[in-house]
Amino acid sequence: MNALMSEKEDCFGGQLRLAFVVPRYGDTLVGGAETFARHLAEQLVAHGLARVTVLTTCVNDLGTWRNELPPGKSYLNGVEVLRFPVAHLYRNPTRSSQLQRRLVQSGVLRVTEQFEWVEYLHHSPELYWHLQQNRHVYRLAFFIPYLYGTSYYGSMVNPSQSILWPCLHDEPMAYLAPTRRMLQACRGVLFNCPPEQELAQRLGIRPPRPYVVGGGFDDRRGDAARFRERQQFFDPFVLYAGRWELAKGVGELATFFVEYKKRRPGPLKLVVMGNCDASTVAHPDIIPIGFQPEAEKLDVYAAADALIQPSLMESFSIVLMEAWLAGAPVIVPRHCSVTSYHVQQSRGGLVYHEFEEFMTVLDKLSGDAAARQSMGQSGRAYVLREYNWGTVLERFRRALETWLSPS
Amino acid sequence: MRIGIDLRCTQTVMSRNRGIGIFTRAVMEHILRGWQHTDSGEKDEFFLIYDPSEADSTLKPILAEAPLDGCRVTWSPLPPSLQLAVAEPGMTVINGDFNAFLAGLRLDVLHLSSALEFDIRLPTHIVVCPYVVTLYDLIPLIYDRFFLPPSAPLRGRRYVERLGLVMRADHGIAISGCSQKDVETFLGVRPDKLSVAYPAADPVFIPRDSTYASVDLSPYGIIRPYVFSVTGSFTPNKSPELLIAAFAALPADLRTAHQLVLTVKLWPTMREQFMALAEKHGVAAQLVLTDELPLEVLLALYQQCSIYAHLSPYEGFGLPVLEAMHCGAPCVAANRASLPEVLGDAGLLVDPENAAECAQAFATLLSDPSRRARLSQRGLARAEQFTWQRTAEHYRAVYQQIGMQSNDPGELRVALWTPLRPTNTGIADYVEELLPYFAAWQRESHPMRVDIFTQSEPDNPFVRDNHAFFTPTAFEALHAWRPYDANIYQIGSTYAHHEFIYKQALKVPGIVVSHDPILHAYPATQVLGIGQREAYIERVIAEEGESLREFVRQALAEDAFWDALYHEYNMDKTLLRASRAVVYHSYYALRDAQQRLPNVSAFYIPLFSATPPDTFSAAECKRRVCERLCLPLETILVGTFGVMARKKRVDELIHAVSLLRRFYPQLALLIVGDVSSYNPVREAQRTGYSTERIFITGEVTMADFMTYLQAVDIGAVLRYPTLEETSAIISRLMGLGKPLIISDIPQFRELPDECCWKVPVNNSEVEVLALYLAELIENSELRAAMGYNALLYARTYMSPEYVTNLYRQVIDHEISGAPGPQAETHIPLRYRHQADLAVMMKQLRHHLRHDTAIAEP
Repeated sequence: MNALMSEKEDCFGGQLRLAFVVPRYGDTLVGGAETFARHLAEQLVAHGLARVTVLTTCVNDLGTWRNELPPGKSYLNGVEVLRFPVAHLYRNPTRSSQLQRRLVQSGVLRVTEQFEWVEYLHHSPELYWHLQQNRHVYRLAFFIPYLYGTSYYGSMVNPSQSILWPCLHDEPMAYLAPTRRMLQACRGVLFNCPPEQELAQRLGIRPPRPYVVGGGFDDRRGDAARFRERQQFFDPFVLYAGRWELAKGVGELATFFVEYKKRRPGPLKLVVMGNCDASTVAHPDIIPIGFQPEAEKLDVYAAADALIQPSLMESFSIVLMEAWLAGAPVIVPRHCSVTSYHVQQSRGGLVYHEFEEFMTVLDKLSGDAAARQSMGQSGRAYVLREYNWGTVLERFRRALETWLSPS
Repeated sequence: MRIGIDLRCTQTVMSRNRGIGIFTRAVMEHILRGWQHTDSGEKDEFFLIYDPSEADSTLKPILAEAPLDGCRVTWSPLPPSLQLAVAEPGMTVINGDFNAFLAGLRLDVLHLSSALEFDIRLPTHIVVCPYVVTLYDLIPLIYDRFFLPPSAPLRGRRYVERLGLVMRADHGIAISGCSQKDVETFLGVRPDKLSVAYPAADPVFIPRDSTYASVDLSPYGIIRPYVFSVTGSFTPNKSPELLIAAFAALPADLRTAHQLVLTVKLWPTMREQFMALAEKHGVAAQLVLTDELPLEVLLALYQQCSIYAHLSPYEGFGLPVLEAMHCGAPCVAANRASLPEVLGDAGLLVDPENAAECAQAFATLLSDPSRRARLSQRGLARAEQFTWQRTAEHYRAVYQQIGMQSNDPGELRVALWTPLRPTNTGIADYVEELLPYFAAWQRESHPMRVDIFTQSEPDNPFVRDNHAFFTPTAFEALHAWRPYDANIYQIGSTYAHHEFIYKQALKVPGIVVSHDPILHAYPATQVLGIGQREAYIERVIAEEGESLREFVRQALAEDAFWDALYHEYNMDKTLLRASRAVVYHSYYALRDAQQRLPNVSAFYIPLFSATPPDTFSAAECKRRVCERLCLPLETILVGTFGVMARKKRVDELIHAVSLLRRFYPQLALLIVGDVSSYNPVREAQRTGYSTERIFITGEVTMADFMTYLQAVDIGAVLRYPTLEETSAIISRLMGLGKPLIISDIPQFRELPDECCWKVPVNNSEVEVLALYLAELIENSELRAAMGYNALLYARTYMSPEYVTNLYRQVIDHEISGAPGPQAETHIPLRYRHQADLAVMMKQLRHHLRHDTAIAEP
């Protein structure tokens, strides 16, 4: 028991109330941050470690930001979910677009424009109001990820009770003054892995009470044969899993793979698992298989020679863990500090830089089954050692103790 | 006792040697010489108030002849603004300086010896001591067409203001019963506040004796027995032509045997006028006209005349009649005004407009020396009843009565600090429209006096007549004399208009009425506007906290002052902390202040909706406007009002109207206001929008403004960005029962949706505007319903009576700690919640800019 808790509550008495503030929430959403939040919330509730209330919006589609889901209370897998509408109060959409464009393209906005940009994010005043009115109810509120209005303004409602779970990427928005202010004004910061924390340090951010926790995973295996039988797909393949969008590095991946195939004709395919518009992958060796149900996803990983994760914008990379759990090695760019960190720690894959190294790595893994198996097993051991739920919850518990202490 | 006497009428050229000045000198001499000090042992003190820029008072050498035993005398010079030699400042300055001057003297009573002469500068209100006025006559009022013609409105205005001063006197001493009656009748002064003290004649006027009989009048052309009169110029109250006509009506023998001697102050051309009149009546050969004469000659004229005639239709007293009686002259006087009081039965009273009757009276006396002798004796006896001692005794009694009464009438005294018209500000309009309702409420049940401190010279007749208005510099003296129970500061964002109020509010805590809750203009105007960037930053930090320094510096460096600072930070904490209470016109502003400064005593008082003028109906107003603009009556008029600026979003309104025109040809947009700074129609044309059926009126008179307000079918009040101000136009339109389309900004949100549709300030603004307009154009029943809702709301929660009651509650809170008005009584929870959300968003926006975490509420 933690003596720092009040008599009526303790971390493991189930009465500690926490709020998780996330822009979207649901079990069909694709997104690392949303998935992290949901899994942790469900684990905390399932293990009776805390009573978690998810505060989220009525938005389902981040493209339109329309309030599609009904406001109010619901439950998902035992977790209480409160939905609040987003208020479309921004004043000048032309200006908003202009700032966004300049930020993404050049990464340069004047300081006042940076705060103006935050104002133009989508906000839920009712959600913030709920936080303010219930500041004595929730001991802590977790805001994930950093890039949304719900985090910037939500964490400002009761900063001394706010824990930022930023899922920081090395992108222009991470360099903004409002981001730095948000991450320094809160009570604590939860990072997914050491490289993410190092990134924060490089950005000059001095977060209070930082902790690295990471995502949790249950021990599962995939069945390669089941996948091949179901899909009637028997060629060797490397796998890409996730949103097929340029921000995820898929442009370079596609280019490299096509070039690789020119030089290495053969049966090797690139399978794309996730939301992918088939017209954007018009090549006979790139095979989109769409979104796969949770139960079948690991089978795909198990059948792959390797998972390729080309993205430079990762704060943890769930797909790496999933691939390793299934026994598949991974291929990641050297310059993604997060994924290359995992590879280095686990010895569960290879890194590349530029096409020549990409080709070498692909040759190695596609031609050496023993190496694939070895790396896959190393990766799996790494996941089960570092990111099993027991370990993750223990790290989270220690972090909670620090954040809840009065100092 | 400390008694002040205004002696300026004994100094001025116009009065010192004439009736008023002579009277004042004589009565004061007798008052002072005969004064017995009160039982307190210490001598009473007289403060003789004079103008050091004018000639010495005629009283001065008289007082210097011998010391005064019963009292002390201090000659008290007036400050420069009240001296005739100094260019006349506005009445605000005169009010302030005069009252401050009097406050310094700490008088128990003041005597104004001549309240209606313009060459004696007087305030419109005297508030620091009770005062007594000498009432001579109301001749300009009674003969207003002559003395106060429409062609000289300023003179009339000034005279009416002086009458106001007279009416407010604690006591008036009339020189005749007739004057007293006139003051009762024409000014409505209560009889118990008036009395009569007749003048007396100078003791030099005595009957003929051997000493004076020898004065030779032949050098003046007087060679025969004569009828004598001291008269005036050709004014309706003097009417010297009546006397000439009466003399001309004498039988020929008497006429030729006598002369008509008139002594009159001969202004230029008057001699020619008199001679022409005499010619006309055929008595030019008998007329002797003299200008004002040395006293011994005047005396001789009285003593040697056969008859003294005084046929003025109107006199306040008629001193020459008394002088004539003292000299033993048989008198014939008009039976009008005060003359019967003077002459009594000691002479003949005649109808001055009946020449035959007058001539008959003359003839009777001229033919009957014995009768003349009898009247002479009777006149001498009657004249003895008029003595300066009696007059002085009356004044002494009045001084003591008034001076001894409590100087505290028991009413609440409120100092109202505000700009007033002609200063061009909506706050001036607001205050000037509210004051009559305060006055009505005061009269009914709540004794309260509101003194106004302002910089301008107010041009509102109600304000000038009903309120003492002073320059700010007079406050210290007035407040030291007797502290005001409450100070109310009407503060807006225009620094130039409100600087004096702001500074005073910091010095003397009171009730701040915050019309523009964001006062960022103050440091901006004071320091940033003159390039003192660092000083500005320090001002912001002092208000908002050190942790904002970096952001402010960045904002200035990035030229983002207007967006990031000016419309964001209220810069009012210094003011709020110094205040005892703050009034806001929106619930949003109230909640925002309470969040930023939890200890502030803040209240919500809505803008009021003044009762519309009872001139024309809305239908008639619309008919007139349509006729003026050559529009059919079926036109749906949408109106937007006020000084045009980009923030009024008329561009968006024009865009919406241009979208609708194709579908609704009956739609027209009326832009009523000054477009000299920003012309939205020109802007629309430049950007390619059609401006057909869009009309601009430019700046209009208040009457026309009200006509346009009443004429429109739909009101549009859009605004962004703002200084969190509310809108008097909204209040007016609601009070006129108009459906409204307004911007969805925090301070407007609490207005009911049932009559005010809110348009978001975002990318859908034009589209929503067009949709709302289309709906209202098509649905007349909806317009009527919304209009009715607006009217109901305005009459319930925006009525001037309701608002003044709220003000009184705030004043009570200030004085006695009573709770004050509660905003929740009529703003539904859903609107209060919207306000709270808006306040919270503003707070969050600001918190993010700070370097360190903000303390929780």
